[in-house]
Amino acid sequence: MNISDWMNPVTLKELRQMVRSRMVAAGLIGFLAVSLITVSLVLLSSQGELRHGISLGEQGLGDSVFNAIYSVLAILLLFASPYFVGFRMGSERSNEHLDLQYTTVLKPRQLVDGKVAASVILILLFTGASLPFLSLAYLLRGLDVLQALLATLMLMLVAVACIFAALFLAAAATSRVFRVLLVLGMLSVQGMIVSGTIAGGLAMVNTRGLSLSTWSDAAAPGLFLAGWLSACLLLRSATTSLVMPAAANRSPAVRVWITALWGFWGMIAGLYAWHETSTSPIMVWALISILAFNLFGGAALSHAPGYSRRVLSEVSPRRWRRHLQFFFFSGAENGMLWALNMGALTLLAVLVAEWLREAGWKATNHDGPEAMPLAVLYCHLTAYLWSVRALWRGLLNRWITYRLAGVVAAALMLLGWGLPYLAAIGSPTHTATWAFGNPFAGFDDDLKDIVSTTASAFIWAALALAVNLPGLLAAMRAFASARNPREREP
Amino acid sequence: MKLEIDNLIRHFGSTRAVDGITFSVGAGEVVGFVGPNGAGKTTTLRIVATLDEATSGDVRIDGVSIPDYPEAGRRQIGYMPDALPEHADMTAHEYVDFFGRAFGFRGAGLREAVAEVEAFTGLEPFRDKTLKSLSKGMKQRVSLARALVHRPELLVMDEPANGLDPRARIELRELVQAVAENGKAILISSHILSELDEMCSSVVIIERGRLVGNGTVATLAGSLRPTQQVLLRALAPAPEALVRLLLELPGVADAHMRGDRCMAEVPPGADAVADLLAALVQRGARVVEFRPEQAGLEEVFMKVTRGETA
Repeated sequence: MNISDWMNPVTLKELRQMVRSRMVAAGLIGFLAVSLITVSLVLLSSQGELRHGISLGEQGLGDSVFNAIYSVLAILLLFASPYFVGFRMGSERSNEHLDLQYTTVLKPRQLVDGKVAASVILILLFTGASLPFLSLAYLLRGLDVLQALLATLMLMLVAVACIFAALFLAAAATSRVFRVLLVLGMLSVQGMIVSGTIAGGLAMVNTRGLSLSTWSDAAAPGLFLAGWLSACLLLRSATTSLVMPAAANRSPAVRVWITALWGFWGMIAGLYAWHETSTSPIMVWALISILAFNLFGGAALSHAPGYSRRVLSEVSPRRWRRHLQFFFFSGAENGMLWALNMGALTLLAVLVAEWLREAGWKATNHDGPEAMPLAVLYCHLTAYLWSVRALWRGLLNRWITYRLAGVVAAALMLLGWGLPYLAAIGSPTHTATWAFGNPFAGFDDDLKDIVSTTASAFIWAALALAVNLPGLLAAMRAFASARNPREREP
Repeated sequence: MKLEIDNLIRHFGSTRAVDGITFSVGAGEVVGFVGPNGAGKTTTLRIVATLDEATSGDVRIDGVSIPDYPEAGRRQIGYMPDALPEHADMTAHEYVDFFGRAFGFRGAGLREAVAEVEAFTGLEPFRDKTLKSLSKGMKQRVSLARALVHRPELLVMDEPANGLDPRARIELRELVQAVAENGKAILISSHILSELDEMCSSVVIIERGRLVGNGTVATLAGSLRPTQQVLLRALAPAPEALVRLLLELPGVADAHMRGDRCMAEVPPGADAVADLLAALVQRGARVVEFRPEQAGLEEVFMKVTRGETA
């Protein structure tokens, strides 16, 4: 047994391919060349001062050199590497190589982990290549080594998250048009990520801003790490789900992770709210949670009707376990009901927080969104999703595929949000003409009667759910273990 | 090993790609899977290879349901799609080695399995060449090596001879026959019927997702034609007189000239052919050529299918 026998086969394959890849070689040589030129330019620019007899050490050129190398490395790791990894994944999908991997006994998560592990090694390779320049920066003085190391570590962590995001987008993009749109969207987001990371890293080094001496100091890096880990794990489970064959039971990993992250961040928000004596963190958590649950509920809306045999073969014959599985397994009704329940639990948590505040809890300010606007949002989003489900089942399925049901819901939501404002164009107040149908109406300061808006959205959501009740009951009945008792098990 | 496909149905919306197919493949058998474009061949093979799921019906290997236990099926099946490996930055050896690892082989076992398939498929001289630099025939060998590296009991091949030159086709045919001689079951789809005719022990013909023929070519031909044709030539009597003589013989349904030979139609079966030869000799005919005509797969296919697609 040698080391390759202990490695994930996908990592080994990716590394072998990278060793032969001209793009990786060109990237490495290009990075070294650009770094060399950049460092030379920084040193040459301070030549005038050097003539006056100031030694390099006293001048403290280290931070200038570090800034330059850090920026080059950030562009390479956050911009070039994710595209490289994403394009490789995309090309494997299009030339059926991934399909062939599904005929093996590799698990989908091994595919994702293998690719990420190889990408992490690539990140380490490029960071390692920058070490001579970073050492030079240290020798030139003026550089806090701990801050520089932490900034580099932060850059590497952001790069890993970008790799996860690239793999997710490559797995999600099944059509060429979608791929082009994603690349364009990614370009704009990446610009912000690259500039934000460079600015953050350099600020950390130049102001010696990061201290870990007290628990309070550790809160920001701790939150960054928790956020990073949450994003990576969520993207990992979502990518794993997307690379699974369509008939597989894709949803459990994603929904379980989201539920776990919801609980984890809810706890963090609660503790933070207690520490800061403000309910705002809970409200922000609730807002993000409701939006996320409905986003995934919308994705479930586009699931194929009925259950595939592979899904049913995993359904437990035990009743209580089957009831729990219903919320997490693949299926349109399953995902939508999960989103509905999780949203309701989030609202309940907000109500409890508000009650605690009213009951004399020490929270003093509550400038974030409160329960009522969140209820307007939740009821509207629920109403849209379940109305489109009913519409698709009763009418739209003749013209559009189930895959587009989620898109229809998103389009209607956008319409419901924008139309009241479009109708108000030209009016002297420029406020929305009506509130019904606008999920974000509760957050509008000009809204006069939030109670009636909440009530109308609630009635709409309840009606939509009632119309869907027969379909929901049928789905629950169909969700039964389908293993044929006559079949021989392997 | 026995593959059983039982009333397999696959619908894509209102399109019935596969519509109730039932057949089986046993160890050492080479079964040709033929049908017009869009008949549902690739869909069926993808379901067998666990890449797609049937709307209903079952695929079993030795009684184990593949839709229910896909992981168990994957160890038993070697799937060879029509797409060839095209990676520019991967050698043939690395490609086969990766799939060996993907099936859980490690250490000496892996090296042995890879060396075995490389030797079997004749890849050794090309093992360190990148996949993109290989010819189509060599890529097809790599693809076969990949499909066999985990020593499956069933080999599923989708259009393996597509785009190959005559030499590569003959070499592929020899490899397929060698695989079958090793006791493996082979299900092979192809449009090149003459190739299948030579290597298959039986054929399954589908059209518009439905099974329209299943059995050996001879059986299918027999079921399509009520009589069997025998081509013959004699030094005496003269051809026209020989036709008359044939028409007088008991059991001969028809006789006519085909080029410089005579064609007699007799009831199917070896007995009728033997009786015909004996009767001719008995009546003094000096027979120099006597050949029962076997209907080819092409003829069977053309008769069985109507050329309609799903």
